[in-house]
Amino acid sequence: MRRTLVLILIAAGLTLPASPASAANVSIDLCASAGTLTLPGPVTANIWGYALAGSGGSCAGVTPSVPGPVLSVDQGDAVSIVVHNTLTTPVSLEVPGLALGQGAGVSAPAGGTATATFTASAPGTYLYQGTERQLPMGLYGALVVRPPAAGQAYGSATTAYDREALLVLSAIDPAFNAAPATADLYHYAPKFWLINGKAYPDTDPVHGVAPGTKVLLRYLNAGFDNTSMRLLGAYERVLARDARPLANPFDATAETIPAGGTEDAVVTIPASGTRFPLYNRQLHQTMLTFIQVP
Amino acid sequence: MHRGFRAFLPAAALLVAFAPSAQAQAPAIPRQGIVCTNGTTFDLTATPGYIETPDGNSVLMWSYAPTGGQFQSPGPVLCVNQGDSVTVHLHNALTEPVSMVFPGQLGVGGSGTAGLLADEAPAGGDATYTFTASQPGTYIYESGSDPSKQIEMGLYGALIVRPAGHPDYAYDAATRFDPQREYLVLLSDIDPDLHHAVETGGAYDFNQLHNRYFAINGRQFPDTLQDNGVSWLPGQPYGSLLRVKPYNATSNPLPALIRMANVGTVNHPFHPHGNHIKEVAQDGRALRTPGGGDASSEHFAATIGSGQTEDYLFSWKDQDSWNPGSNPFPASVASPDYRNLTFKNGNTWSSGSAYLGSKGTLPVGTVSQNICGEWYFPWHSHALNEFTNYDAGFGGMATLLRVDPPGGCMAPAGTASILAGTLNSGTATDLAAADTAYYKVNSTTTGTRTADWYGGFAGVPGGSTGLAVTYTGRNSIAALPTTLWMWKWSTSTWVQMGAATGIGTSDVTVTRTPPSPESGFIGTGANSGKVRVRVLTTGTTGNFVTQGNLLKLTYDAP
Repeated sequence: MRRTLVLILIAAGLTLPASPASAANVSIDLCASAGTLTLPGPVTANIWGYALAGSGGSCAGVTPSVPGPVLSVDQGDAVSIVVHNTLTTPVSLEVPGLALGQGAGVSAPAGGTATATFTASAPGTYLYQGTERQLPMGLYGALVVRPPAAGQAYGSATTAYDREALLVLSAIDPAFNAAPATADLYHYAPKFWLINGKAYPDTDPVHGVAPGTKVLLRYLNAGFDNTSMRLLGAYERVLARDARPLANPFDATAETIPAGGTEDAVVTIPASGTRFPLYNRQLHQTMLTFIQVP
Repeated sequence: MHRGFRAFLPAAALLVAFAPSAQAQAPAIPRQGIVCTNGTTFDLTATPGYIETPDGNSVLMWSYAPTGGQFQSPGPVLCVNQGDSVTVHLHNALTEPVSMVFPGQLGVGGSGTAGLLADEAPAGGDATYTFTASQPGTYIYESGSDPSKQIEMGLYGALIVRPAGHPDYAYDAATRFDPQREYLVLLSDIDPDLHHAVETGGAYDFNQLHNRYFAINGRQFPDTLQDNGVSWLPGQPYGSLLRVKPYNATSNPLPALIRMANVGTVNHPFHPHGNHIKEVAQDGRALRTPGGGDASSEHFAATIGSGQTEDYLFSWKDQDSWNPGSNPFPASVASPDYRNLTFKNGNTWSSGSAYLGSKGTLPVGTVSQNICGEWYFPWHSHALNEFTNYDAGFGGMATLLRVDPPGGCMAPAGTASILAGTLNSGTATDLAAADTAYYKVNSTTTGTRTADWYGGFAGVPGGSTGLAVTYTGRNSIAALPTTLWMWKWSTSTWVQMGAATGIGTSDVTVTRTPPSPESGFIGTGANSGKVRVRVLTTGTTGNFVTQGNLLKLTYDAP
């Protein structure tokens, strides 16, 4: 591996822009494994999640997470993702918006592997994910393709940012996850609405901003429903949808991210206010976090 | 009276104890269009009350009502000017902490008990919010406390910030609109089971949400069509009937402004029939290109997200200008039959004619709500489950766009009666159009000859304005002074409209308007909707014949 591909998902995914490098061959080994997720209550839900494999692609002892690890590659990289499936059911991997050499996606049989290869042709915010019942189980994560210019989401000055925060939006119905093979989807009814796999009050605020800081919010909707996110006390400038920059960026306080879609928006922290709530306006109030000064 | 009313008397007592503010001013309420509560300081009380739904249900709501005033859902439309320092005092007559958030306003300060999203007013207590309305636009305000309960229960309203010095701009010169045609379309949805749970103290589980009522400005169709402030919807003062006249570059150049906001729990696909609507802003910010140019876009289906606002400019353009006289449908084309636009039980909004401004024959048993040949287009949620009242259609999140005839409503004289002189030939039917058919009256035959007669009009709605009479006619001899008069029902007298006009042997057209107040000229009671216009021609000592060609009345119906 050329460099660290994993940005540990803490502090709501707050990361510093990686230093860009020239196009390279990048190989990532992921495990698809069963695990649990502890939610407020506490409630323990069964999950399937992706995890970074250990050395030699070993899945021994790895702990899957929801969402999966953040993958970060550079524009132009030739990427191959090897999925090691430890589940007893086939697992798929697809990256909507990026053309996989294998077409729509790859599928690893139970106990087997599959390799997805693609060129990270355009910068932006992408979901990598399983399909169908694998999604509500937790098999999804964020893939960020970075342009050559550091600190710019899409390689233009208007997409510049100082900090970034990944916001993987999803929901979980523990009853479904208890019986993913047999649960009747007619009765699918999430009880927890999550940002980066956590329900408020467990969510991680975006700390460390100051007036004038440009915070890039990378929304990824891995849930089953269109999701409207409210920002209080500030505006976000919507720059891109589905990893494509908008010709006419606009300012918003309530943005709907379609299920399966991504969106990039920059919040320039205003001079007044120290705590800017960011939450689900459809009143699913555990999908709540804050952007905070400092 | 509602079952639950008595239970809320303590809350009512609290309202009385809390002195109303004189600073927020409610101007005279227009029958249609946005109803602003103007000011910079507002006193609101979070309080319970009931709304009525068209299917006969009543639903407990919580709302921000004017302190000391009537319960209303949604809360009052707060209208301020850009640059104003705005203060909102919130009193809490509910039994749990309540707050207000103002999305799109920066640096909201104030006082209260620290809460999750905003300072709160504890049960029975108060909070205050202050901010500078720095940017014009359409915004909402809503609860920042336990939103999955309190916003569902109705704690929301609209906030309008008008550009400094330009109340007729939404944002800037490019968004100038006709101030007489400014509309709020505030979308909301209600799960009555959750409201019932609150009413009865039952378990409240937002995950069980199943919306059954869908509202515009707090009412469900067809109540949405009723005027603002009708007495039978005391807790739902805001109608949403939209009215425009056809675009005209000189006489009607400015668009209507539609301020849309979604305070509901889900996104709503709103579908305006008639013409495209042009989105010029969302969330209180004009849509611009990076270079500052126009990035507006036109739509006939607009999805508005939960919590979002969108502003639209709307001009209705008559593409073809079909007219029964000057531009009839081609003989090869069957005249469109709009008579089947029935709403329910044989009620239709059609006039029976496909021509704007004309009325036609309707099938027996069909009752028309049409006043004078205006056109109606439904504007509604295209999620058809939302176009219902408790799953029964049509209802819910729907209203009508009413396109009035360009010259206003027109009525030809339906009767003709002679006051002095005798009938020569013809009937009132001959007064319907300026053509070759005349209604002829012989003058008196002694002394100074006169011909004195009047045309009678019916069906003019009370409250109509802009009454104007057009008379076209001639006489058998030259230059006879002719005056037009209108019957004033309230004093049982004829009132002359303007000076005499000399009318000779070729057709002359005279237009006159009655003096204000116009209401006295529209009959009431047994004479409801009647208007009479008198034509008095004074001659010399020679007999003459007055020949009336056209006698029509135009007016703006309410």
